[in-house]
Amino acid sequence: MTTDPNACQEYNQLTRRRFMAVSTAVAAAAATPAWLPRVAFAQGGFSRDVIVCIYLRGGADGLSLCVPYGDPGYYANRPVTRVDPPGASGGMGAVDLDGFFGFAPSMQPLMGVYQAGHLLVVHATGSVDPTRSHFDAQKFMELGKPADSTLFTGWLGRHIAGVSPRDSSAPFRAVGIGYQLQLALSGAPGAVPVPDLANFNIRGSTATRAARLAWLKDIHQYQNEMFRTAASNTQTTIDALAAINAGSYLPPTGNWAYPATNLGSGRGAFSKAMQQTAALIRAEIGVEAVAIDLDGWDLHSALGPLTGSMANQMAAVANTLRAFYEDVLMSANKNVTVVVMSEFGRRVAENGSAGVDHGHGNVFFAMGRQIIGGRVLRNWPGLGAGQLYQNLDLQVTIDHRDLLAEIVSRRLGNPSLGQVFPGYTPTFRNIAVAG
Amino acid sequence: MSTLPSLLASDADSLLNESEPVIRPKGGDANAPAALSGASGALRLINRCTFGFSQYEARQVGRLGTKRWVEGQLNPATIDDSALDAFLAASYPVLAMTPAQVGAQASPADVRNQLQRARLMRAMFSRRQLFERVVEMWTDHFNIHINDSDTIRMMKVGDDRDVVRANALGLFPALLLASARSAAMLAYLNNDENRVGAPNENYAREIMELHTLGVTGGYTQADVLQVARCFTGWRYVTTSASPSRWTFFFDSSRHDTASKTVLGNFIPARTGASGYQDGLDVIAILSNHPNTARFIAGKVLLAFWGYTPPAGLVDTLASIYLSTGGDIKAMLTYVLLDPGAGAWQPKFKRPMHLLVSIMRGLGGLATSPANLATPLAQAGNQPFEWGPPDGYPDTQEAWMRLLLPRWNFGAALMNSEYGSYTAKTNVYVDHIALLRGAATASAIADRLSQNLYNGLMPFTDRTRLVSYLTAGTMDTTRIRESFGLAVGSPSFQWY
Repeated sequence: MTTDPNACQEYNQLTRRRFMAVSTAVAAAAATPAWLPRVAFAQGGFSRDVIVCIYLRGGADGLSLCVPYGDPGYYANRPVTRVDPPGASGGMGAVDLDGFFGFAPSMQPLMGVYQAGHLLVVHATGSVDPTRSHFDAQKFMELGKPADSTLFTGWLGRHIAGVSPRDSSAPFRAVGIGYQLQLALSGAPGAVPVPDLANFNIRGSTATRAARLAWLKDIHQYQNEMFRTAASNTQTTIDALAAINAGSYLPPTGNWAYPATNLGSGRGAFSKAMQQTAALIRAEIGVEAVAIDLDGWDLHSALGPLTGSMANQMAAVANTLRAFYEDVLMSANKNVTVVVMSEFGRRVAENGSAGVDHGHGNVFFAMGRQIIGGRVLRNWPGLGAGQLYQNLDLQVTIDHRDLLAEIVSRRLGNPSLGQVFPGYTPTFRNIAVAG
Repeated sequence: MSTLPSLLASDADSLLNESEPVIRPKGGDANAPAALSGASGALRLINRCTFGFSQYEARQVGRLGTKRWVEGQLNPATIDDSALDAFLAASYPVLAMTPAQVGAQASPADVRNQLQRARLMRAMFSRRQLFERVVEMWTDHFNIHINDSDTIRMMKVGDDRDVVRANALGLFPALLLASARSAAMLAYLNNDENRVGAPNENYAREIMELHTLGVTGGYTQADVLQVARCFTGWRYVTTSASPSRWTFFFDSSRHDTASKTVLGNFIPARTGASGYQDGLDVIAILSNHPNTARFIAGKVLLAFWGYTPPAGLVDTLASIYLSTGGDIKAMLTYVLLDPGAGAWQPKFKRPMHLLVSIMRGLGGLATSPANLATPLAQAGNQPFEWGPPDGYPDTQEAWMRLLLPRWNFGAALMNSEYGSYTAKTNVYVDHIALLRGAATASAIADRLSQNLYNGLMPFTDRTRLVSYLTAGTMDTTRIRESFGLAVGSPSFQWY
């Protein structure tokens, strides 16, 4: 691992060898559950990407994230909550992407990534399930199969369960930043929820810490698999995170800065989670997937795509992704693919409170050096009369599973898509370079 | 200064003055359902109906018998809780304020802190324990994220008192109506901005999906729009100088006066003040719907029976809902006292429940629970802080994977990180009071068994605690650490 001359001393001290030394017993003990079919996977020299899966909880307004300024239906339906076309007076017009779509102004930080060809925007995409319930929509999207209430593992969890560990000595294979493991990761062996990668240790006397942890781990041995595994993972995770010391990690000076960690509505926590994830990936301890959530998108009232809530949310996403891009993908040259999704877009027509109700089609982002970006991929259905889903919403013309499946296949090296997305035959859209 | 010491003295004294010289489990009475008789039955009953087994409730069950004890808990006004009430009144003045008075407070964060601390003190020390558990159920069912805005931080005080607590054991339709008129709910789900011409669907969708019918309850997008139109004009007084600030009012100027059809029911065109009837009609349609009966029955069973109640039991409870007009007390009576009661499934304690049960089990005391805010936040279970409108999850999958904050409750509490047992400040456990002279490892384990399990601590826990106690010098630190480990054990995570 190359060391950053600018990173602080504590973080720098970690090397891969040193990490292994402090955690000899951390090999992920969790076996693939018996109920999952095993896939014999030959790596063949292929270096799989780490995937960072960002979920915008609450239904982010795709028409603000990527504004279809070339569609008159947008302006007809959004008289108050509009983003004007590029060149609008006051500098508050859309940032042009391709002559038809543009970023809202607060998404400007991502233009550099887009222009480098490392950011792909997909529009009129999402889950084909018709639900406008947050909870069902998130569930079916994370399960990777619409309208199936019998499935209980997530698409990312099945992917990880189906491939051999990227690093057989990894302390854990996947991390969900949060208190609950994200449903997308459900079923992944060696997946741990961690609310704060920089604060994960047992309280009490340091003199008895090891003995108490051993006592707690031991007394879980007769519990069910989930419980037993959680106890075992706790010890392993404490050791690994103590070795990484992610809280002291700083990106190289001169890079785009991660936003302040005290921003409200989870935006600061999102920035912190991404910065800590950068430390985790740079530490090269074998993590394969990280799931991170950002909520605050359920803007039924006062959308504010230019200066309000939506603009703040978008600025946090754009600045954080830009910082992560420069930090991990460019400075550290790590093989990482970032995907960003949300359960559904919002209603095309704004409501009486300058907000937008639950809709259907939405945008999706993929970021990575092997992502074929710099474009807005779409089969645009239009926003005019007769073009809307149920006469209300943006249609879904690209199933989000097409995008995820291609990434699973080409960037995560897993050809068994039938296991990851059961009952679905994806259409690849050439969004990623294979291998 | 607070009156708390006198409040807790009543509990603590009876704990300290325990007259029984030998450790003897307290049993339920012979007339109880079979599963609730004896010491194990009393332990099950108390764990199911409270925020955790305690010596006080064990004595109460022993004195009153199972049936009378449950009936008392179902009629909380019959239980004297005046010591806690006095403490709350002295410590958290916002609890008694009108919505307008709360709104005049300078610091929304302070208002929120008072409400959260009151929530914890009630969960830990109220003698109306079943009531507090029911309050927890409805708080999740009608979830309002207290940090959604500064306004909601203050409005939630009235919602907690006048909606949830006022109706927790009453009739569900009354609870639903009170929630529909709640300023905090109106603001949280944006119905305060729902007006004729361009309705806001947020509340209309969630009242059907989350509060009544359930997501598979048979409504369509068209119903969502129609219900939204019915609730146009339901808002609250916003004038900051008004004594009625943040109380409900129907604004006929915002109401959609045309006719509507909700779930096949025709609602005629209504003008002026009579337009308010539209919303009442919706409340009635939803309240009386058989899918609501099943959904609410399922919620009650999830909270008090277990994760996977049999379909027949859901049907039975739904029929009780329909025949009693949604009488919550009648439903709970069936779940807790029917001859089949006690066949409940074990449930995994959520973090706040666990922390409160640790305090109750170990006889912990508190002059202020402020120091519990950080550990609860680190466990993801701070009261009133779940963001989406569906409330904190109540599944083992949601909470079983993150054990470290749960282990830290006992570790930090017994390391005096939440307060001092010598100075008797903040949140603390006095191990000397619990031990009552027990000095050997075996005797200490017996005391813990009595306090945490009505004398029925699992064998594995007991032997391993003895092992820990005897693995080194059995000093104060080691003894206190053993308490922390006992409540971090898997056995103590269930109720």
